[in-house]
Amino acid sequence: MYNLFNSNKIFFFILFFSTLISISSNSWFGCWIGLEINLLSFIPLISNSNNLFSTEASLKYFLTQSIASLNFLFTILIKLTLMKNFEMNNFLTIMMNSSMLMKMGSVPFHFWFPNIIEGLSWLNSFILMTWQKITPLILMSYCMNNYFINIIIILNIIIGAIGGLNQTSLRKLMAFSSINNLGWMIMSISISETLWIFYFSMYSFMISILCFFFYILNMYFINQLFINNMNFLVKINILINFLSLGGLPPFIGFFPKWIIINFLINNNMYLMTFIFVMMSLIMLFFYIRISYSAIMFNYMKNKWFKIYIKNKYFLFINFFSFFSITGMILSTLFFY
Amino acid sequence: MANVPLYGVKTHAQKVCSLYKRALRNLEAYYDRRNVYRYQAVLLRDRFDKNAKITDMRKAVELLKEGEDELFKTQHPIPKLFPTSQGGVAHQRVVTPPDWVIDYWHPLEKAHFPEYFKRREQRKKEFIAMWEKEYGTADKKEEKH
Amino acid sequence: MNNMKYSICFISFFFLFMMMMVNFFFMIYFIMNDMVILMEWEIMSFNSLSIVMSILLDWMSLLFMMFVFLISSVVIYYSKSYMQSELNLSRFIILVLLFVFSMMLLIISPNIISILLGWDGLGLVSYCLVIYYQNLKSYNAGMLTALSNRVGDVFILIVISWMLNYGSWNYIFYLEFMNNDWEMMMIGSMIIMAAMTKSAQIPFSSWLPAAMAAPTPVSALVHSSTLVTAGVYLLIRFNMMLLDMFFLKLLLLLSGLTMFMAGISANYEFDLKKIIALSTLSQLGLMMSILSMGLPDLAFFHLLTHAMFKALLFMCAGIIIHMMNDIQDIRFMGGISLYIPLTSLCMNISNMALCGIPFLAGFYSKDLILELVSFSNLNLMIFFLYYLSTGLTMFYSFRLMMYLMVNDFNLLSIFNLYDEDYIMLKSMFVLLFMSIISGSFLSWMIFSYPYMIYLPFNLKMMVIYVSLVGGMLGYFISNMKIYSVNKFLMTYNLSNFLCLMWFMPNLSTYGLSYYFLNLGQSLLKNIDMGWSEIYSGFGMMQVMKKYSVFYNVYQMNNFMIYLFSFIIWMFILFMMLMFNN
Repeated sequence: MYNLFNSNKIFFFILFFSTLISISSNSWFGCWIGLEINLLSFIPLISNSNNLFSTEASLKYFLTQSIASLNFLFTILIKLTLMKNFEMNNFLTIMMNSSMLMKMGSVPFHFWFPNIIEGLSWLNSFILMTWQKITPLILMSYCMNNYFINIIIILNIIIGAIGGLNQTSLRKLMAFSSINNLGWMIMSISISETLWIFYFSMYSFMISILCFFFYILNMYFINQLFINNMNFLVKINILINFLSLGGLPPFIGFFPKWIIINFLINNNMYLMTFIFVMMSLIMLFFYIRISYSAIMFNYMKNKWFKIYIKNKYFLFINFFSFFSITGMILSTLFFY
Repeated sequence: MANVPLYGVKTHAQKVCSLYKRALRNLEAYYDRRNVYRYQAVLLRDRFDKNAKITDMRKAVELLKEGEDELFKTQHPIPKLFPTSQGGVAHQRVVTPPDWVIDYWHPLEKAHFPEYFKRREQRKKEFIAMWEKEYGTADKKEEKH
Repeated sequence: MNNMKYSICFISFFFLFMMMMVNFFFMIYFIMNDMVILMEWEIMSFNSLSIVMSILLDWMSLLFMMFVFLISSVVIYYSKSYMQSELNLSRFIILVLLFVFSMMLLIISPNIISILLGWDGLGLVSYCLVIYYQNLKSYNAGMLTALSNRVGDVFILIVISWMLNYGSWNYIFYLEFMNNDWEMMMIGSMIIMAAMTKSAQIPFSSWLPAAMAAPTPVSALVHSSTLVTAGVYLLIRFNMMLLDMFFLKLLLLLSGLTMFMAGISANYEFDLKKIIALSTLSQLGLMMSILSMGLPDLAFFHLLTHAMFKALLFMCAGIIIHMMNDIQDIRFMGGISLYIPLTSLCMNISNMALCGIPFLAGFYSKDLILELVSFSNLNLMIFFLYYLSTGLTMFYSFRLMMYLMVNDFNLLSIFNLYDEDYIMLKSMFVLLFMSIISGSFLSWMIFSYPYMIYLPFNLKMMVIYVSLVGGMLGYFISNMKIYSVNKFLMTYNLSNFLCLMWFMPNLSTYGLSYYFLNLGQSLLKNIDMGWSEIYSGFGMMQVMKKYSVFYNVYQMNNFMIYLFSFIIWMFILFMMLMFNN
């Protein structure tokens, strides 16, 4: 919580509003300006003079984002000079989409994403995985090349699933899971914007619980989950939230995925559905591998060892987890 | 130790005796009247006695094998068994738990039978006293495991 | 335990006996006024079908209930002494009461769903009773019993799903009107199969002798008089529908064979309880076959009289086993009439009743059945099955009598035979009385007009001929002289076949499980631990891991390369944009 409540909070504020600027502006330049402000306000948030890794991460972030912005600016200038107004070209669209994909760290321009997240704290990676994706996704939805985007979606889903399989770092793992979910998000935004809002809010909700958990427990690697003597309730909470993130039916995470699959089938995208479902199986596999072995196989508990984690945020997170568990069931009350 | 047979290893004589006994039991299943059974048993004994003097081991083993075969081929489908023997109707019907189980009863359970346990504790003390009188007190070192 | 007045046995006995009296009076009242009461309680109703719990009270169900209550009350009274030193006596009595309860549910319900309630309850409780002595033998027997009965339960379940067509499960309304329906034919054949499992007819008959691992009072109540007659009772209720079916002819053949097979096997058997169980099986075959000839009231008549003397026979056997220190093998017994005259009296009378000696209970039903058999239009084979089985009944009964009463005393040299256990004897005398008079009083009561039988002299005397021959054979077979040749060894293979109930116990245990277990093992080795492991879980994991490692190599490149590749990509796009225009 350090980062949120010191003098950096002005940057947090700017980060927040820059996104609003770019998604609500009615000219491409306004969008670009918003993106630039966003970049410049996020850098102070992530750079920490005490930590070499975060400095490196901020540098990398600056490089990638500025190159992406540069290309975006380049593309809109070309559009301005070459094309008439309200006219688009396939290649131009692909160029614009590519720069946006670069900005949000989507496959095949995603290589910076796990590297940078490795140097961030949990709260910053939470921001990077959720809030920083709003602008590029919205901007991309203005002009989409469907053939290109479909390939990108499939790549996202597959790379996210397979890349995360061998990871031992929790942050990298969450980064790959974010890549996978990005595929779902691009799919949903190409179907309808409301669907995307639904998926995005659910995803941010689930990922926030996990990130805050790991932040509080100071977890960065898988083996920390095994050897630490956590409260059993905490382990169960982690398990449930992971299952929810993977999209197992009784939990809330299943709900948005269910609806997206429903829309996909309505639009006759059966192959896409197949890939989505199969790859979320692999995602579910490594989520379960983490949480299952934390509870079952490597669960050792010394009788004299008692950790009382005195943290007021636990209550908060447990409250969130409650929604993650029962949300699906409770939501039936609203949709009756 | 000599009378404890190695498992599965029997001398020829033991095998023949075993065959003889099983053949008698088989006869018992067929001939349930006592006098008839005695008559048949004598005939059986005679068959065994005829070959008792054979010293040629090859022939003896051959005969034993034939005897086993004949017993197998003529065994009674419903053997005459005592109820508590292996395969009998009342085999393991009543389970008798070993005596030491009572020592592990809960004190509340023991409280149901105060007289018995009082006497039991007394008997135990007497037994230990008797043991120590005969063999001396146990070494303190050996008590620790 | 010590106080007779307040023991659970006495209370249950009193309750059941009172219920018996009530049923008796109502039965008389119903028979006199020709009344039927049908009660229905609707549990739930879907669109057009209703699930109801229905109760049918007519003279038949009341009479059967009265007999069940009578036998169960005396059996419980009897177990007061038989199970005297039993630790879990309460459990035993409660199980018997549960059994009586499920029997009641079966008897009074004309609805196939509520029948299933009683039917399943019978299977479950009889399993619990068979494994009551918790040794290996009774576990095996219990499993065989439970699984054989389970087959019948499944058939009843299928019947329930077939009866969905009619919108209700009250089969009693459909028996006459849906007679020619194809669905009703299916239902009828399923019902016959279910009844065959419960009444241990030929493919399923191995469980009945195996169930003799239960305590003897249980055998007296459950496996001789009530449970096994449940199938017969069900068919009596369904009889209206079955009359023209091909399946009924098959049932006639199978039940005739059961009768014959059980009669022969009983002659080879040496276990006292198993002999009686096999004679039960033979009598069940008789009931089933007369039922499949379309004479349900005769089957019901024989069912009731048989229940009386068979329960008595089992109780006598129980006393003998009790006194012989758990020995059941009749080769150990002999000459016991000198030591226990009262028990021998009961034993002989019930055996005579079983053989159908005139004016005992079995005479009225058996004689009537056999005369109607010779009266009706049958082929030679069925005719011979009937008469040979009648002779065989005499045969094994006399053999049993000779072995127990007449031959030399053959027990261990230390023994304690006594005839002063008045609790057991009192309960037996009730049934003794019943097995003398029940034949005549039932025949006067339940047949509103007598059967007209018109036979030539030799056919009329046929029963007596076969009985006499059977009795003489039974006498000769159990006499053994010193120089007698052992016929058993001369026809060893045939004797083995007949002795082991036509190998049916082996076929329905090893025969069923052997191939499936082998198949299961090979499937486990080849599929579960072999191919499917490689092509699903394990192999998938290997492939995925390989891809993941392959991908991670790309992930570990220099940061500059990523940026450069992106710029090259944009450059290519830009070039294509330029040259495209």
